[in-house]
Amino acid sequence: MSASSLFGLYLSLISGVSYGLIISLLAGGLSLIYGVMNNVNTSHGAFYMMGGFLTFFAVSSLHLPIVASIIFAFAAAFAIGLIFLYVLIPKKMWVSADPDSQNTVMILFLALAQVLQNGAFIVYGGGSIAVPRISFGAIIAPGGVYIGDQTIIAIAISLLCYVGLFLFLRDTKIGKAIRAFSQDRELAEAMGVKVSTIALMSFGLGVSLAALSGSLLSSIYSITAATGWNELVIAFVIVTFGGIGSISGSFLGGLVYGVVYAITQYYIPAYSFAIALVLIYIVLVNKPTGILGEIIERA
Amino acid sequence: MSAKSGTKKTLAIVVAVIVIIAIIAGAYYYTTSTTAPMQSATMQQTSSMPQSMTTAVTSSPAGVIKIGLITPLSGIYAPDGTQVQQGAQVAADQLNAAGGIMGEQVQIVTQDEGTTTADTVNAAQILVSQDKVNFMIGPYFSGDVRAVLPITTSQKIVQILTVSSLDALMVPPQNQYLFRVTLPDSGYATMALAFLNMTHSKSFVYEAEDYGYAHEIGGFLTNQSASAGVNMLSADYFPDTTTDYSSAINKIATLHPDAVVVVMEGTNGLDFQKQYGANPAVNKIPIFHLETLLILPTNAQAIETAVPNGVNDVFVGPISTITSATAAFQQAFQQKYSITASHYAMDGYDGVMILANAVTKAGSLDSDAVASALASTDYTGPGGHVVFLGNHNPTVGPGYLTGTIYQITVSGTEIHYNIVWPSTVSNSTAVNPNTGQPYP
Repeated sequence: MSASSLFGLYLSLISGVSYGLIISLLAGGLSLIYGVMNNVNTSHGAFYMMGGFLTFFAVSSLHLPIVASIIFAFAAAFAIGLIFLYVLIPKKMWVSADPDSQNTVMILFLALAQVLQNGAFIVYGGGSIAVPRISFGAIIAPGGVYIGDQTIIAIAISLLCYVGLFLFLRDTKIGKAIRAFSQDRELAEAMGVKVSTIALMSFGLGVSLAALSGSLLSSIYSITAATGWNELVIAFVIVTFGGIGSISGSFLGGLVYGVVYAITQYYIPAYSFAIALVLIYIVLVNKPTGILGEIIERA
Repeated sequence: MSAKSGTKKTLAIVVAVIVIIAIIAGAYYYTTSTTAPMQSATMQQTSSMPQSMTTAVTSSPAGVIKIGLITPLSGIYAPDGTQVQQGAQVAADQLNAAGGIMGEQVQIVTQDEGTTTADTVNAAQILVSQDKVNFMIGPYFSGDVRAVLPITTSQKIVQILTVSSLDALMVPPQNQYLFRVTLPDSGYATMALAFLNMTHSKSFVYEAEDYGYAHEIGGFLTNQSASAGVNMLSADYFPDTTTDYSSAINKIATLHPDAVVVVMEGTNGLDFQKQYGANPAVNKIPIFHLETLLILPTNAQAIETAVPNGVNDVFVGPISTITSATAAFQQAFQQKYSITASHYAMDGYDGVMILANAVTKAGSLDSDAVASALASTDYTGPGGHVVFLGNHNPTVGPGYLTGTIYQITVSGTEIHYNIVWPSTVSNSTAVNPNTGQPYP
């Protein structure tokens, strides 16, 4: 391999790790919701889009500083998520192993995604939103590779969120309840864990992570009212690869996806997404539960 | 039924109604939202009426001339597709107000192109078999044009392309009744070459979305740039779903090109520019976005907010050609629809007017006579001066169809689009992003 090819590989690794760490935050939320509620949140991409728009709203209409706007988007998405869960999904379907119920919820979440998307169209039109960066500048990695400040911040926040989520699930009462519930629902219920509380907390946190991802990335990528479907697919790929319901699997899955994607984009960009999917397919054929997933017995 | 289940049912109905209203409202808003290109040149307003307007037959209409139109009215291309329809309708209205074509009223019969080729073929069959259209405008996408050609050629339907740009379509025998009034892919390549020439670039990289037309432009650009002594260092094609271009931009940094040419017509182009403008390793290299959403000030402003100077000195090239008829059309369009006309509307208008001229000249609706009259078209409309070549593509070059190159400058919160090419309409000189000085 020539020196320039090796340098390309090095560049791709840096780009891939950055992208993977950023995008894994989105996937983490999806995994959390599925792990606890047994429901696929097909509106997850729409919450990513909404995170960008909530930040834009906070900056342009409430005139909040950008950091406060990002916090606002995170909190507002939590509240909005809970409201929609209450209004849209029958309570008995919040957590269910029944395939019919799961299908119904999946379709309702799809409808919710349409509502959110068209709501954004009506309010803000089809253009790209203007969100400032927390910091504008770049650091230079060895080899003269520039990495934007906002990318570094997004990576740092993504890592912080994963650490926070880990500590939350390990050390807090509700976190322990969530873990207990996701491992054995009946036993957890017998021990006094409330299904509704667990579901609300998981869904709220999950969609907040999606919104936070959209909020942070809205100044790096363009976000319009039509954004979200592509991100939903990417999140699905990462979650499936890492292991459905596994938070650490999503983190690892995001990293692997990012690196594979960046390397293929450097050398054969037209097939970057397809090759990432093929590699993930190969892994799943050999380990159907994903890298860190476990076999889940359904009633 | 219990009160509880009744409440749930009511709730379900309410939610369903909200969902349906939101979908309809969103779709309506989306299809009526403007996609206006910036036209900063002040042009003298002159008539764009074709010859038929001044020689219109005044006898009472003996019938209706039906022009079938296939264009996207749903999906993500609906805003542009709707502009084609609206532009065609403005032409029909003007023709009818002046007595129609040979005394017959003009009717635009529109079918949605849909989201699949099967939808388009269906639409063509309805127009030809059921509506019995005399002529056809569209479809919008080159792949769809290819799919409906067996129907239109077998029925000898004269077909005008106002959006599809694929040069490969214009070959015998399928181009016998097929004419194009918009810039073909070879014209896109010519625009890119004009940019490379303007910036004195000796090397460049080509970054494009992974579509057939972008590959065709890349092919033309490869040949034309080689002839001009400009070295194409790489040509990379990305799926249009790509959002992260950091790896691709790092690659550009390692290649050290004199210029970058981008063909990404959707939000992917905005993603690319946002990341390109933020990377100090590349952001002083002149970049040219062909047919881009950056032509909308709101999109340029969105990038500028996230990346200070992220669009400053960027070159953008919509394929519309400014003529003496452009301003008058834009005014008429604005009056009718309260939105700014894009080149899709102008080309839709030109398509109908060129057909009207040809029918008048042929003196009949016979396809062979109209095709023959079309071949000798010499028409100047809001979208450009159209003279057909032997393969029924329009002539590309100064005085005909050229496209327009703007350079964006940012002052404070203002986004300005300065016309830097072609010289016949330019109002500014191209500035080197690296030095901030005009190119010599």
